[in-house]
Amino acid sequence: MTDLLNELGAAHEQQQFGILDEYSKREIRRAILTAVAVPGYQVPFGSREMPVARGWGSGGLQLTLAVISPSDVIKVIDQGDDQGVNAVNLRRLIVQSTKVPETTTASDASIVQSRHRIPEDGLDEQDILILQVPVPEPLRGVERDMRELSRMHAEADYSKMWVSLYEDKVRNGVITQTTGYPCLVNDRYVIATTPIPRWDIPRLDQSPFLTLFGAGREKRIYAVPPYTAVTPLTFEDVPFEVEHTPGASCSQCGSNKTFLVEIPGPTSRWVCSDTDWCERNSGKA
Amino acid sequence: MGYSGARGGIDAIEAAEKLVRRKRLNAECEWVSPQQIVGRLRLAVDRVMGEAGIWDEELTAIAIRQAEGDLIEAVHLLRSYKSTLPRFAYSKPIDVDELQVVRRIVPAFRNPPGPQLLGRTTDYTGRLLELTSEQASQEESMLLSSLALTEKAETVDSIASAQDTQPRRLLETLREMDLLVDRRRDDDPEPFDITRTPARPPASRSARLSSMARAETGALVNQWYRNILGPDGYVHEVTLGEVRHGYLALSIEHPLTGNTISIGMVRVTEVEAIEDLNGIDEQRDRFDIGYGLCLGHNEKKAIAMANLDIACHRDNGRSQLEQSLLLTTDGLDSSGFLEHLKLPHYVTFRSMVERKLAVRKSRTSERDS
Amino acid sequence: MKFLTLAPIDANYTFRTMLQTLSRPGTIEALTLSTDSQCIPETALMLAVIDVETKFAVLSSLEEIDAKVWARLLSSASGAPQTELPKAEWVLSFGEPSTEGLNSLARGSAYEPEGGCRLVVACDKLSRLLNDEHDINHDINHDINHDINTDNSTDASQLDASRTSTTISLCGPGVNGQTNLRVEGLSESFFSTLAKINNSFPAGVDVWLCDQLGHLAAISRSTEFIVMRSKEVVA
Repeated sequence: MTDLLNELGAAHEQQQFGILDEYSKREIRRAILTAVAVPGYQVPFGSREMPVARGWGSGGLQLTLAVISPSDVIKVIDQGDDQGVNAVNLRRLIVQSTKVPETTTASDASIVQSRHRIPEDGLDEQDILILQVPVPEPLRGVERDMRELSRMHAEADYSKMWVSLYEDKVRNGVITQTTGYPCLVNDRYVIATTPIPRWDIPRLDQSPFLTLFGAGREKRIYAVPPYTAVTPLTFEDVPFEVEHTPGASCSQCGSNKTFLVEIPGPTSRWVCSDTDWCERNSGKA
Repeated sequence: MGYSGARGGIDAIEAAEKLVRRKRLNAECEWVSPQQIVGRLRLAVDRVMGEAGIWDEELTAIAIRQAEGDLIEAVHLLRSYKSTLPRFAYSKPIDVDELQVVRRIVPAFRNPPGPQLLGRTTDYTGRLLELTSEQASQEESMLLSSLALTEKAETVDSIASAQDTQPRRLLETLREMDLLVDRRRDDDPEPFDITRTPARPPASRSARLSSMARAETGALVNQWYRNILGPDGYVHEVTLGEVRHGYLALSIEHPLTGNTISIGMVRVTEVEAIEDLNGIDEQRDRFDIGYGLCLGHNEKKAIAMANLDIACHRDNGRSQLEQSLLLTTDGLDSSGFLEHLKLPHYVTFRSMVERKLAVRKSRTSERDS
Repeated sequence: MKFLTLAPIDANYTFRTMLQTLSRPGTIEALTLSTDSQCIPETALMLAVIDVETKFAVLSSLEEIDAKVWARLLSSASGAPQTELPKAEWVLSFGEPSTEGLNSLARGSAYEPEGGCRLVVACDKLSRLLNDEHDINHDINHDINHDINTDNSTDASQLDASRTSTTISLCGPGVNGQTNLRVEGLSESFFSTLAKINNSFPAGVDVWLCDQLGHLAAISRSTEFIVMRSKEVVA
């Protein structure tokens, strides 16, 4: 009996490229195509269990493995940092199983898998940005029932979201959404921009590159095609605000026109979150 | 700092991995073989097989050993291994009446059709920690294994008759007594495959059952406790019909000859729960039945499953019970997401701090104006 | 061909080309397959995405192409089950599909946009219109109905489709402003039917066009397009 099973197994073994089998890849590829055809719609897909845990980038990893080809160059970042431990682990998994060359320079990369940041520059028309998404549902804060959420997206009924933003503004004086700001894509679907900072959102609008969003745990894929309208939800008289701390600049390269993160202490210091950009800007690359 | 430092990332990871591997492989004690884990920790092995959705005792033991006893971690190892295996056949549908029981009880009746077979259970034994010396335990173990060789012949004879190993279901008797709602269908819908499509409410019964079959045991028990007995739901009158532990034969169609061939057996736990119907729009002169089935010997899971199956059916979308079952009971999803909080979140945190300051600034300017 | 085969590496490249063209509707990309694969480009598109879990169908409006033969080849190579047109998730059409056929394709719904059919159409030639082609400016106001074969019946326009060239102007997600695409082998009727089908976005049908030189272009259901002109191609 074991012989028969072994035979059948051997007969099905295909020359794989990477750790995802060809069936899984096709499933993910089909979902990607649907996501691109309907910008902003969360496409359900049969998310496979990956060597990284749910919540740790299993969705982003599946997208990368389904998409990557031998002629690509991969960059993986976490919080903008190529050396973040989770980015290192993911990059190692990808490179070991696909042998695709890796880089830290965004302009050399053709695929960037990222957790929580868009590289400050370097992505153009030939590139694909893959974002890791912990919670793909932008309306999660205003509605709990999944059936109702489904209806809201199907009918483009985002009224509850608008009310919640209004109440936020009234209660707090400003809209307090931090990262993952809800945006309207192609004037139709509201998406969770994952926890990318508000700083990065303008770069999604009419971008030259394709952005894919992968939520492995919740089993959803969505996309923002290039040259597509992405507008943060806000009111006419309430301008969209990005993160900005007056007077702050990077203590390594001096920049004040990139997204900075704080090094806490008696006197605050700031550094660029995009370590690759920072290095190049400091002339140390 | 090596956590997310400038060039320390890969070095830090590799150092951590070496440490784990060294401590795991070189723990200052004897080596543990997979056979020992299967032989001595069978219930852990069964639980992990059920949650991984894979039947392979030795592989599971290896996963438990590699995970150093973290059972959810072991489930992860097995499920991601499963992702690399090709799926090349589906078994033929199994009639659960063919289950060969090694344990079978029917709480609903004192003398049901077929035997009440306590089998291997500690249900009625006092929970007393045995503190006999290691040496005495091992001597007893050796004595018992030599006795077992002579006992074997008897045991086989005593569970010989088909009536005993495949007892008639209580369900059949209840139907004959005209006590049950009949929910049997004429059609034969394709079962929902949760490994291929994520199940979302409103879902088919097969989607709910298969989600629960792979659910984390503790999560399912907690869901049961909250909904059947606890704050989230209303109290159900629960009586168990069947609680069975036994073997099921698996067969597939031979890819070339088309003949049905047996490929082995799996061991499962199966429960039928009798539900008292007392709702306004229900058939109050009858009972209904909930069903639970999972791999391995895991009675609490199968019982919870059976109760939640019928509770979901009766709830009929009124509450979010179905959503809870489908979306919050998977061990990998829940613990993976929980533990992801350990990842760097400083981009989000910086954004949050900025908003706090913005709120304060707006209050100040409001006061000033 | 006795059998079709698409090596995993080629499936990968084919998918990337499909993704690139769908992300940028109207853009033309070349599809090249390695010697490990044995299939014509339009079938490569199907084999890159279908498997045991996807239902598909094959159509042909070309006399020399037998849809049934190709359906069997695709099914053997992929394990994908064949089905009737309205139930198919992926459809390959050799030549222009009939209006009836197009209209019968699954469109999905607002609740389930993923139910929309994906259509691969093998046409004759894909090209872009360059700005210095005076035809564009000259014909825009005269075109549409004047240059098509004067017989207005659907059958006739299908028969003549292989000698028809239609130019469409596209805009929408993926298109930087506006772009043009000239398709030889598809009539205006195809595009006007498609436009109507995709009117109830997010339901709709996504289309890949594959020409005889292995060039690919795509029209997403989110794309807005209008027919600029349509005329017979002089042989």
